[in-house]
Amino acid sequence: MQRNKLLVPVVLLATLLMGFVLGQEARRIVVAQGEGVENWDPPAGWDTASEWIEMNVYDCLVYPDRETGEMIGWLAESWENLSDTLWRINLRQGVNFHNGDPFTAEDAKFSIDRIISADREKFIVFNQWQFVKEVRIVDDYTIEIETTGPDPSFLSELSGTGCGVVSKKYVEEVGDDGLANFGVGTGPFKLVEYDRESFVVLEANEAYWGGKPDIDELVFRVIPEVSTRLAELLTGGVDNAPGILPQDWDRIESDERLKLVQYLTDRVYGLSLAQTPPPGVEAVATSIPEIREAIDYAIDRDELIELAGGGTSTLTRLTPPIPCWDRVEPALYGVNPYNPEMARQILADIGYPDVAGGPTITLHGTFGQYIAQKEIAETIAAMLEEVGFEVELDIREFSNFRETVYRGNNEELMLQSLGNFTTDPWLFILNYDSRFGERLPTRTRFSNEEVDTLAKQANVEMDPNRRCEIINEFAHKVADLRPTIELFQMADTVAMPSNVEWTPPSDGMLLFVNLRFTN
Amino acid sequence: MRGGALRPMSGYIARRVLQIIPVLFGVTLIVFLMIRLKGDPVQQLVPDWYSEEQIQEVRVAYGFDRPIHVQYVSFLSRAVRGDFGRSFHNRQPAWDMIKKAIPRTAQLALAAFVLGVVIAFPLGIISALRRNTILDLAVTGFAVWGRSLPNFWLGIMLILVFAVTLRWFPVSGTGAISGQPFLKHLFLPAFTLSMGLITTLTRLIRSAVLEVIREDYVTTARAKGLRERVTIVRHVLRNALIPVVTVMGLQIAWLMGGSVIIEQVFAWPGMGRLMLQAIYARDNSVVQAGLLVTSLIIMVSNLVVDLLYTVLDPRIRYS
Repeated sequence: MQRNKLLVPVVLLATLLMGFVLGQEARRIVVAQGEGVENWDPPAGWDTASEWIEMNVYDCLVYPDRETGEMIGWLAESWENLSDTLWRINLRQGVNFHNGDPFTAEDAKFSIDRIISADREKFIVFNQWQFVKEVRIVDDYTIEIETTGPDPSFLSELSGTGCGVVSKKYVEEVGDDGLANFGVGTGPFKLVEYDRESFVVLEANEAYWGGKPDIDELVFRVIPEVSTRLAELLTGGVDNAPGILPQDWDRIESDERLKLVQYLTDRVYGLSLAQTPPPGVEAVATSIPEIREAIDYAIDRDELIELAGGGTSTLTRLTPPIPCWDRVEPALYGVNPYNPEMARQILADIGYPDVAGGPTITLHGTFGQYIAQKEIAETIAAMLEEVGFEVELDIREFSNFRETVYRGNNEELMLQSLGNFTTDPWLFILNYDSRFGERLPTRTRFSNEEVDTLAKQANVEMDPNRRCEIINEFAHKVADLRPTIELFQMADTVAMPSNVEWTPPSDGMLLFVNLRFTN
Repeated sequence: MRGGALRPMSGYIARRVLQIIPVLFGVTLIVFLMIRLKGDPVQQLVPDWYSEEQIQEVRVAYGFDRPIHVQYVSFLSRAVRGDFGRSFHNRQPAWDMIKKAIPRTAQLALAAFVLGVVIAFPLGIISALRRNTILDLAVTGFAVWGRSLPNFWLGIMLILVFAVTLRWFPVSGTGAISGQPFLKHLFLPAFTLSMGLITTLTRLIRSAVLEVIREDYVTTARAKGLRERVTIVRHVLRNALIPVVTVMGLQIAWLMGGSVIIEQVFAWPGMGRLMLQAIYARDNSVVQAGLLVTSLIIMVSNLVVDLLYTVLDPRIRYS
């Protein structure tokens, strides 16, 4: 009888506890992506999708803050620039890899050494890491990196593709193929299982040095077709999908489970203007400064932004973001130089169409890579024709475009989209530095002694303030000479559940450690 | 008696299998040359800022700088040992990727084949037996309409109706992580893929049945007082099957190849999607291995169809 009296409250308590435990469902986010992971070995590939997913599993030594672009320490706790070519890096202590191996200086050195001592066939990023001459271990949690020359972009380059730190012990045990098949890092999420062609399942790293992520289970699903991704969002098959097109915004917003967040990417739509003709062509009209100026005045950027869905897209005449961004005068940002009357006047003054390389202006473009790419090229062609240019529009399928036109075979104009994922100006400078142009078949074939001198100074100037001044001068010079005409900084729109807070990073990198559930 | 009949047949089968070898050799040559004519794979591998010298270094590392006949001989000598090289993109052996994708496409193709046969046979037979009625008009109208629908459009429409609106089926994937039964995931892509087969077979069965039904032996069967069902199944259908089986055999190849768009729309991780990605990325090793395997499947299915004739019509003998 006594036992029966006790049994009732015990059963009730157990039921309540069970209900509580069952009520705490695992917090799961399913992300739709166009492509899956090709390889879990960080330096083995360039493909964006792999990098996006991998960066949730691996940590780099340093990495750009995804909102400010400033470099922050991940596995590096602090760093010191000992000389123009020597950096000391103090590593984070008490960090373990997902398999339990402790992270030490041996792993940091090993991760860089295996790239720079390999070959191009093994690691496609081999060339990109040749800024490192040697990595030396000072003690268990300190390394020194010697660069091949003065390198103000050192930290940015150290966070480039392939920066994910791997466990020396694990790689030696399983070999390169083993690592390619199953990634083990120190990142906020651990790899649980994956199918290269269809999904990746990650779970929260409870012991993450930056604190346990709010998501318990993070799933990436490979869904190549845009309309299928939308259908999955609407039926709850996925929770998060980047690259939502403007025509689908209403449908997403009408679903109370979902919300849309628009953010400014680091990518800029722009035109390359050929300064010299490609092989086999006698002359290009864009070699004439007045023609370049008239093209600049003929394009209404606001209309192009509307075409790309409007929102947070921003007018710019530069490729952002760079640490010196705030030093660049407003004349290069937020302005629309559209003035069709001025464009017509300039053309009349120089006697167009009787000009070298005229009258036809060829505009090359492609489609399918970025929002409204083909439509933007068509609209630019119409705007140019509106002020009197004779335009030949040449739109090609992407791989054909890349092989036949992109690498230096373009005529007058080419619509392109440039990003600066490095958050350092070196990539921006590279586009206009003719010293690189001698080796690199650039789209502009631009050469200017003053610009080259500034580029040379910016590439070795170790004082950040002085470097910013040089870059500011460089940016203005380039905007005046117009080897490229930048149009606007692109926005992207991501769909996500209504009950989460998440700021997508400007480079589109899908890092989910900062996602928070609001209920 | 049976053993005696099989002896000349086994000679025929051996000859047909041997014939596959030179055909496959021809396929390797054509595939190899076509892929190289399509463009430079290195251009797709390297980032924008690589110089010409750096691109050339990558080209040398992958062996693309060698004369084309040297590359072909090297490819062939490895291929006969089952080594198709590694994918340029994920460094995995191309054959491993193909091996993983084939069963998934085969599941889809088989389901589409079964659906096609199950739907097309009754439709074709009923349409023939009810010739020039509204039912016949409806079936032939459906066959023409279905044939003219682009696969990708039909797939998207089926998703909108049956997955998004009615929620009867999941939108995409194979069910590996959705928790829903595999067959539910399989139905929409398989039905979309089967539409071509359904429409082709329906029209073919209708005309084959109409042709056979006028034959004297059918009239005789009916005159003998055989039940209509027995007459149709035993005398009409069996004799109508020969042209139908030929087309069904050819359709297997079409189902394996036609799954490219379906797999893309339904995020089905099979051969079609793998090949599409590999072609876009100029991933030659994977494209070559995939095309060779597809060719082999087509040749084997043709051989099986030829052999099936002898089962359907004992008068046919190969020697």
